[in-house]
Amino acid sequence: MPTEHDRTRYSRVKALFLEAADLPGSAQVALVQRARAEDARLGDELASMLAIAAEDQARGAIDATPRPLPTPTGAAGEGTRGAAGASVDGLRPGMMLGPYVLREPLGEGGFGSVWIAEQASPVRRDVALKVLRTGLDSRAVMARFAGEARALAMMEHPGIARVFDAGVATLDADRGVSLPYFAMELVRGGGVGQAITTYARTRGLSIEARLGLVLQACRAVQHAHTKGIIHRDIKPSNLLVSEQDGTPTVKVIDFGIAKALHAEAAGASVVERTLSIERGVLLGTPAYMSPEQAGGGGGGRE
Amino acid sequence: MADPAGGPISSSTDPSRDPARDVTRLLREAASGDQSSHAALLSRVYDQLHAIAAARMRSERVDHTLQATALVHEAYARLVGDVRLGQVDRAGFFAVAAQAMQRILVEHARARGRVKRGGGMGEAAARRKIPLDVVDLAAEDDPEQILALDDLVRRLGEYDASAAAVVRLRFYAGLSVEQTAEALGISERTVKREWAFARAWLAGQIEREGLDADGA
Repeated sequence: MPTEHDRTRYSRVKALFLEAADLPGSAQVALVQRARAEDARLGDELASMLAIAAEDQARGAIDATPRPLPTPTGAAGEGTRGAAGASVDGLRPGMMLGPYVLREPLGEGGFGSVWIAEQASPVRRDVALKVLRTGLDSRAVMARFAGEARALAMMEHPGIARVFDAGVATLDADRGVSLPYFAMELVRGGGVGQAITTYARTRGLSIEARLGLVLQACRAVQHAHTKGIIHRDIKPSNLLVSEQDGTPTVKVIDFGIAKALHAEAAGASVVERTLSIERGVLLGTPAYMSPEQAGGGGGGRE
Repeated sequence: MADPAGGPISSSTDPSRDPARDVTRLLREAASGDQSSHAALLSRVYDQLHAIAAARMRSERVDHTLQATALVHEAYARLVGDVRLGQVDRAGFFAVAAQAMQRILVEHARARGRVKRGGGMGEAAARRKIPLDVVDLAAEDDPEQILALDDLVRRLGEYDASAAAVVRLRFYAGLSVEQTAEALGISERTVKREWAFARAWLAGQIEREGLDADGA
């Protein structure tokens, strides 16, 4: 139990802290100085606590609801993960995949859905979480991704959205539903980044301005190519535009994901490749694919 | 380390056919100072939280994190359901839920601590890793952190019951500022001030002492 001296000290620190909390920065400094004059250790403690509080305040930790609350499942039955709310592929806001809490769906694609998700640890940040539809062999995808991840980590370019992490979440152990996911840098610009074509159209951009955007995309892709990494699925929806200080900035997303998803892209045998195509799983997006890629070639950077 | 729940918890009440009414009754009785009703309520909430946590632990095998907030709200949904509780009863529920959740986290941490003992963590790591937001039952989290935090919150309570109450509701029940204010019957401004202070105090203790998981 605390001694009387401890209690007095605690009360003093708290009173000073709460007094300082209402003051502007300069007045806080003066208050800390007064506290130091009274007792050097007290002043130091106060200063460090105020610094922590300022940091908390800056990241919104004081006001924030700790986490988005999932909609309660209601019934007292077992595991009623119902289809309530904005459900995409059976996923809905508030659900947790690995360390990520789904917040809102961004879109759906051929492979699955993309969500804004919140990562809690080791750093707290928002990410774009691409959740793949089940049916893909998650183990194989992850094994390939692990190989890709090292290469992807070498890419540091403002025009390329970073891929942070990949994993597999098990949703329903009984039915063995496992969902592979990729966590990527969330491209923002006011809201969420827009596809390059949408951006150009809605802003009524001039030809020059459009070419400027394409040039940016080319520089980013060029950077990846110098590192020996090929995207394999370049298309407007993978070229997002966000505005930074009013200047449109292009970011290429999904780097390395197409390759991780498809064994044939990673250099599997011709037989496997043919089988995949027969099953209708074609790498990339046909409308935006290079002829040699669609023809089953290696998809080189030429 | 002091026992936050004040003794072993066992299931002493049979779930009646109308659990929500039963919970409401227990809440009222506990609020009027009936210790046995409080104990029965705590055990009911504890059992429910435990069951939900266990079910989720089974179904989210890979890399799972159980969110205290989500557990508490699911327990609320199951135990109270659609019954509209008055403010005092809601407050009572969340206070009990925070207590039960804290208890579960500590037991979970102790159980895992027994499995992987040894290797005290460095001071820097402890400082970096103790989560001062919401406590989760995370697979990767070091159990020592949860125990250390439990100890710190208990210590804070010895100095300052109101700051500790805010911390418990925010940490262990995951309530928002508004909900916490409602639950404690204080203003939102006061919640924010107490919360800001308590976080800074806890962080300061962690920094000053490194990790003190033994409650010495």
